Amino acid sequence: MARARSAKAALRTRYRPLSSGPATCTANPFVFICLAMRSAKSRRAKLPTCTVQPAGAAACAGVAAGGVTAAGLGLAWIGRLLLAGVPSPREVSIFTLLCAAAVAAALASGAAGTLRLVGRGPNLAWFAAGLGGGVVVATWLR
Amino acid sequence: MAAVTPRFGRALLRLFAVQASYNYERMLGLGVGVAEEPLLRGLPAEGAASPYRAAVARGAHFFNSHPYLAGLAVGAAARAEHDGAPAELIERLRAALCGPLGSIGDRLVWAGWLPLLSGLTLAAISLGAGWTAVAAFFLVYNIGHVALRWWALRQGWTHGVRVASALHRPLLQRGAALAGPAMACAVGAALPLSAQYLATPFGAWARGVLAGAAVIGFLSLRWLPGRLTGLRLALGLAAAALLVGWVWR
Repeated sequence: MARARSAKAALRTRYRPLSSGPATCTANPFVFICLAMRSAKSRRAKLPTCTVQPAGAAACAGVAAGGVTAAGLGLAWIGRLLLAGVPSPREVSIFTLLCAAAVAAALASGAAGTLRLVGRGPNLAWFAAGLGGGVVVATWLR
Repeated sequence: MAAVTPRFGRALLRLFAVQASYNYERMLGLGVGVAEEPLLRGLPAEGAASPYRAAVARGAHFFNSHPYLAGLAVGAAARAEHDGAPAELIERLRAALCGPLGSIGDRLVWAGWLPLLSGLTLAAISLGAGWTAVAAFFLVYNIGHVALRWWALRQGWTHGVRVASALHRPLLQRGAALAGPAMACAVGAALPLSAQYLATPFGAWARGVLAGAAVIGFLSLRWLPGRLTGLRLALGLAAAALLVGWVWR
C-alpha cells in the first residue's frame, strides 16, 4: 500500500487537484476515451487514491453487505413459508403486519433523511411551516 | 470561431455524458476534456505539439464540480484557449472554478431543485394527481436541468477567463438563496400527506402498529446515524413482523 501523503502537503480533496503530477503527453492519441484513460492511469499507478483504506475495512464492508443481502433473502424465504397457500385470516394479518413494517420503515427513513437534508439552519423554520401546513391539509382531507 | 453554433451544440450534448469516465484520479477531468474538444477545433492542429492537442490535453486534467455546472468551466477554458491565454492561467482558472461550481451546484440542485420537486410530486400524488404528477416531475426537473447546463456553457463561452462575473449573477444567487427554504417547505408538507396516503388502506390496529414502528424507526435512525440505515431498519422491522406472525397462533 502506498504511504500516506499527508505529511508532505495538503491532500487532494474532492474539489482540489493534486499539487503536482505528471503532465499528460500531448503526443498521445485521444481517439478513444479508453486510450486516454489507460494513458492517464498508467502514469499514476504509483499514486494512492483518496479511497485507499486498510485491507480489513474493505473485507468488513463486504461481509456487512453480504450479511444484509443474506438477511433479506432469509426473511423472504421465511415470509414465503408463513404465507404459502390459500391465505387464512392469520396469514392475511401477517401480510398486513409485513406491509405496515415496510411502510413504517419507509416513512421513518424519509423523515430522518429529510431532517438531515434540511439541517439546523434557517431552513428548519420553513420545514416546520411546511410540516404544519401538510398536517392541516391531511387532517382536512380525512 | 465564427461557426461556433454546431460545435457549441456538440459540446452541450457531450456534457450530458460528463460523468461517464468519472474516476478517482481525475474525477470529471476526462469528461470535461471530451466535452471541450468540439469548442477547440478552431485551433491549429498540425504537429504533435500543436495548440489544439495541448488544449485538449489540458482539458482532460483533474477537474471536479457539480456536473450541471461543469459547462461553465468547459466554455471558459475553451474561450481562454482561443483568446491565447497562457497555459498556467487556464490551469489556475480550472482549479479555481472547482470549489465554487461544486458548492453552488450542490446547493442549487442536490439540496434545492431536486428535493423541492420531489416533495411537490409526493404531495401531489398524495392529493390524487397520480401518474400525471410523476410525468410533470420529469418534465419540469429536466427543463431546469437542461436550462442550467445550457446557461453554464453559454456563460463560460461568453466570458472566458472573466467567468467569475457569471457566478455573481443575481438570478443564480437568488435562486440558490430561495431553493433552500422552498425545498424545506415542500418536503415538510409532503411528509404528513405521504404518511396519510400510505396509511389509508390499513385498518385501525395496523395503523397503530405502523405509527409506533415509524416513530421507533425514526428515533433509532436519529440516534444511530451511520450504524443504522434505512435498509437495515426495513429488514429489522420485517423480521420483527415475521417473528410476531410466527409466534401468533
